[in-house]
Amino acid sequence: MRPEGPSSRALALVWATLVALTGVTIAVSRLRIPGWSVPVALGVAAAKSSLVLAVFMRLRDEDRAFKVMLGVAVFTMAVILGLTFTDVAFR
Amino acid sequence: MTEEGGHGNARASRMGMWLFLFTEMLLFGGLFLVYAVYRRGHPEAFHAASGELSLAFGAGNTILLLTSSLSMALAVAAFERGLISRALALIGGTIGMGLLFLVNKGLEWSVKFGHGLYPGAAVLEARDPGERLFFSLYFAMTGLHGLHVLVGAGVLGAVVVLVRRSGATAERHGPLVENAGLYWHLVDIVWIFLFPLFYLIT
Amino acid sequence: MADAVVTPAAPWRGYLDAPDGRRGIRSWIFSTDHKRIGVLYLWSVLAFFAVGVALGLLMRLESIAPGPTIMSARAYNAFFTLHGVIMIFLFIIPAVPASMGNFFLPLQIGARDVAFPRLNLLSWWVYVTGAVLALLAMFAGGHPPDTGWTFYVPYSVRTDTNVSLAVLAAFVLGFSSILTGLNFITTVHTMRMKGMGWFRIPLFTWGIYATAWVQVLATPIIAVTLLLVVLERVAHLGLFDPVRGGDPLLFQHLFWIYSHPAVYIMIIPAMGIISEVIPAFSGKRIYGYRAIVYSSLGIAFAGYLVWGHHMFTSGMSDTARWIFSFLTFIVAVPSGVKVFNWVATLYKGSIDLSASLLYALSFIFLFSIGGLTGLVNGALAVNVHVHDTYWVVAHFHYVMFGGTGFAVFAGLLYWFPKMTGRMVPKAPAIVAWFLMFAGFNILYLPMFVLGWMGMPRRYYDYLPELQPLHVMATVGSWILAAGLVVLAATLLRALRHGDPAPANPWGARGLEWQTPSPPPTENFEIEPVLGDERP
Ligand code: HEM
Repeated sequence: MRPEGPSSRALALVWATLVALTGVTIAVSRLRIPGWSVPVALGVAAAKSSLVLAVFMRLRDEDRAFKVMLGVAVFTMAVILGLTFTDVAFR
Repeated sequence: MTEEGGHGNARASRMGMWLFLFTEMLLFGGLFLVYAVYRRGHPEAFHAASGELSLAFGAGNTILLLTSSLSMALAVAAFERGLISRALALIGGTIGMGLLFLVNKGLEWSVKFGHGLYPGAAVLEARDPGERLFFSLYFAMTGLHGLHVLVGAGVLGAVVVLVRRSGATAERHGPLVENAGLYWHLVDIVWIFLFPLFYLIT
Repeated sequence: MADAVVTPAAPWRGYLDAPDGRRGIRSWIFSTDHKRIGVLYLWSVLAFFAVGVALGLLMRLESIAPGPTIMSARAYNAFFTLHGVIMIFLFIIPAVPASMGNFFLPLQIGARDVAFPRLNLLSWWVYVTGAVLALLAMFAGGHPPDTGWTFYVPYSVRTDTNVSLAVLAAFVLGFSSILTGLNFITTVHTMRMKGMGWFRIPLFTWGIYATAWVQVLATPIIAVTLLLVVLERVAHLGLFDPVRGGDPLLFQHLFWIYSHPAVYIMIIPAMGIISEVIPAFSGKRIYGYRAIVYSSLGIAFAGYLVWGHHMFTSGMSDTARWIFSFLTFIVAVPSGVKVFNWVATLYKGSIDLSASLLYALSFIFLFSIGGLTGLVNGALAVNVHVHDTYWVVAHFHYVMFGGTGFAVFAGLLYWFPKMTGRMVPKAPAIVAWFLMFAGFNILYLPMFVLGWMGMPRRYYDYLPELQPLHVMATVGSWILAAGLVVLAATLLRALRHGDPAPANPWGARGLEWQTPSPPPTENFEIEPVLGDERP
């Protein structure tokens, strides 16, 4: 059986963090640091979606099979992106 | 004879849902790939075009969707504890915020259309090819995402009706509510990536 | 080696009698019994195979002489497109997983059904919808699509033929394939009988499982790609239009990101069939069970790494070209492992040369030719020479038809007694095999030579000096067709008049053989005994 889900307080806390991270990413983009805006934007987006996955979607309460499956899906996407760029980046 | 499976098994039903969510991830993944390739080819044009989107709209919509996700997660938690009517109210809130998101998106699109910034319009055709690609991607990706918001709201609406009609119990309808929630959260995650890629690149 | 289960006096019909006593077509097309859905799929898939074969035969007839023979150039373009679309999306992708996979996966793991029976039925209905759309694209007003099954831009965006409809059909069919895939993955994870650990799962089920992952993770990419083509046609996005800054090569990337893994959707389940048939008729256990499992997973994964080898002459970067060429060689390794294991299983076995085994042995032979010529295509320098020639046409027919097609027949003959409760007479099935095997090679071997001599694919015309080989191929297609007719007649006759089948006519090991033929609706009357279930 799965452990009981997160409490309302925990959920609200995650929500507050998500909103704060949105603020952070907007602020950083306004600074216009050349070369950094995209990595920061994507990094923050990754952090935000990890929170949603882990807590809102309760992935952290699931057994290992679910996590491995998500890993496979993400890895597949990464492979696809990477190999496409062996063409696009060197053309 | 066999392990318990099929209809009654909540774990199986969640697993099926997660697998479906992976297909959604890869569906958008294909578009992100297209985006990545063209952004790499036209960084300046993407920057310029991105400046024409309204950050206020984008940020507001982000907060809306994040909040709708919170209310969905609260709904699932309430449902699990047997607080059915509270759960349904929270789902109603989620649906409302989703629809509001779509209204905003519609306003935003119509402003762009008003300025002739849509694929095939003369104004846009006269611009740099990179800007054209940016707006084509913008409409394709936010359009597909908007469609998912709409479907998600529809699914949630159906869940509310179903639960109301058949006198819900946490055991019987738990997986249904939870799966609908999973779908909603995924739609949120897609937006979490769309927002910076269209509104924040500099 | 017949099992001890006695045939009851009133013929036992198992799941063929619906539990609620209903009869007729409605008891099938609305059934959620995985066995009935498997049979539905089998009929659908074989029907489209027949249509595809008919189109192929007509194309061969056209090519019997240079110049227009029985059709115009435009008609030929439509023919190879429809032949390709039908064979790929309507026949070969669902051929094994959705039909035999549906029927036997739950049986092999001792389950009562799949995890989501209603979703299973839905996937068949979605398939039918896609099929209807494909037929509409063919016969509705306007011109049938003429892009080839690959729908390459920019032509697919500009042509005035029914491309949008065909693309939509492929999109819908992809959705059906996804539903099947996620159903099977969940089933294998959650419904295996107690005690069946991962390394006791029969190899056919392993193959279907690995395939299901590819279905789930690759199909969405083609879905969104096809969506973009439609948007390109109706909303003029310009994403793939070079005139407007788009990159047509990106379409090719996206297309093959799905379609190359899809090649493994076609072949891995077929290999699963072979891994069941060979040990059953060698009177031995499979040699190297784990190696076969890992190689199935290996192929499923490596299948993602090689799509670029379809694009060597497209103007892709040199870096990408050598990387993809290198990776292509790697993907051959797990296939080689399997061939080795099958042959090692046969070695010193007590071989029962049934029709099913003959098809399986031809699979090994033909697939090896297809696979090895694939390595030739994969070599960058040679590819430039043979790209888009009949060499390639021969190569993929050897893999898809000689491989998967023959495996489908091997599996059909192997499991026919279980599915129908009837035995197939041996002699006519072997005659059919002989005709098919001979006809197949007479049809496709000359194509390798033709390609090497410079005959381009998708041409309805050719230089007169190429005619002898073309005539040979066309004659081969007739022999092959004769074999198919004999097989179809044999099976259809056996369906009514075949001898009643015992539970385990071959002395095979899978759990599906522990239940009567045909199985009862709930699959097992007495709990199957674990222990010897691996092939
Ligand atoms: C009797 C059986 C068959 C015959 C006579 C046949 C014949 C042909 C011919 C003549 C072509 C066109 C070659 C060209 O002009 O480029 C072709 C293309 C093709 N065939 Fe077959 N074929 C048969 C079975 C199959 C099967 C079983 C499959 C797959 C499962 C298949 C898949 C394809 C595909 C994908 C193409 C390429 C279509 C395109 O160019 O877009 N064929 N076949």
